[in-house]
Amino acid sequence: MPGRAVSEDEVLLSRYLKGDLGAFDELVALHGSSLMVYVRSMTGSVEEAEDLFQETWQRVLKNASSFRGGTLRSWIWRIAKNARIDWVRRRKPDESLDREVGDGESVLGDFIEAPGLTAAEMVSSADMVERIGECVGTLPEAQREVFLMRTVGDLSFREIAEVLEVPLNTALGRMHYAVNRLREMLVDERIV
Amino acid sequence: MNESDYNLEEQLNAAAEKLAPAVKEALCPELSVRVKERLREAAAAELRRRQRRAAWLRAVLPVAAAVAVLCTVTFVRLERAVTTGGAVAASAALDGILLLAETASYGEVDIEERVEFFADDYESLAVRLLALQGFLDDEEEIIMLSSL
Repeated sequence: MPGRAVSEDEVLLSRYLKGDLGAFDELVALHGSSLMVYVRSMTGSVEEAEDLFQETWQRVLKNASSFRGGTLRSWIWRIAKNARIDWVRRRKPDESLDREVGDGESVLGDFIEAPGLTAAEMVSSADMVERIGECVGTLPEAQREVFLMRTVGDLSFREIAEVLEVPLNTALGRMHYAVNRLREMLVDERIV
Repeated sequence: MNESDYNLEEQLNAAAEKLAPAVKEALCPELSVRVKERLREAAAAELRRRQRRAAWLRAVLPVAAAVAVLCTVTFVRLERAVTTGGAVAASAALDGILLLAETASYGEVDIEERVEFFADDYESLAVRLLALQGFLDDEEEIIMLSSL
């Protein structure tokens, strides 16, 4: 795409396509860990998560030359999301995916509380780190998905909306609920 | 996006920035050696597949290109022949001569009497000659020789 800056991961992908296997290792080092968090949070076991993780990367490899425009990061996450949807369908064919968007769906006008965290709420202690990990796991799936994409995947809200194919306000709404829930959980347990 | 939406996005970004280090520390795993090896094998296999396909394409492309050129040239020549009637004229003329010869050989039919001859209307002449010889059905369609 003319005039568009090429990101580091796009350079790596391009090098891989020219035969540089080491470039692929670097690509995995860049995105692998955060994608593993995502698939782990959406699956029941480590084995399933690793299978889904592997499937995601195989799709990335297979479709590598068809990547066009956007950011590679959001493209890879979109593949991960689609792989997860297919995995859910294969695993539970009768289960509707609708439930994923049930909780947390809202328009901005429904929000009562601002989502900002105070300085005291900033993360510092080891206990808190551990507890945050547990609390994230209890978030409704739709909120957890947006929360992880933003915090772990470093996707912007626009990229998240694009990956999930939802309006920007929906992505913001889910994140808002997720942050509030986390704060409530951590305050209840007197961690913050 | 209105100002309140923008503010909300800013606040959520700030919250995400604050939480991200702890979330990453709590959740981001070090990928296991086994997982990395599986990925590397998959990446190497995909590279091999791509290289095989590229080699195959390199081998096939010149042949495919030559066939495409040949087909195009043949098509263009045929189309031009049909449009101008150049290539068709010879066989049509031969048919006409044979038909006239055949008609004359019967000797029983006075062509000049039965055919209104228009020198510039070869098609209608041919149709009339065919009709005279019984090669046309009621709708002036040519009867297939095999059905005669």
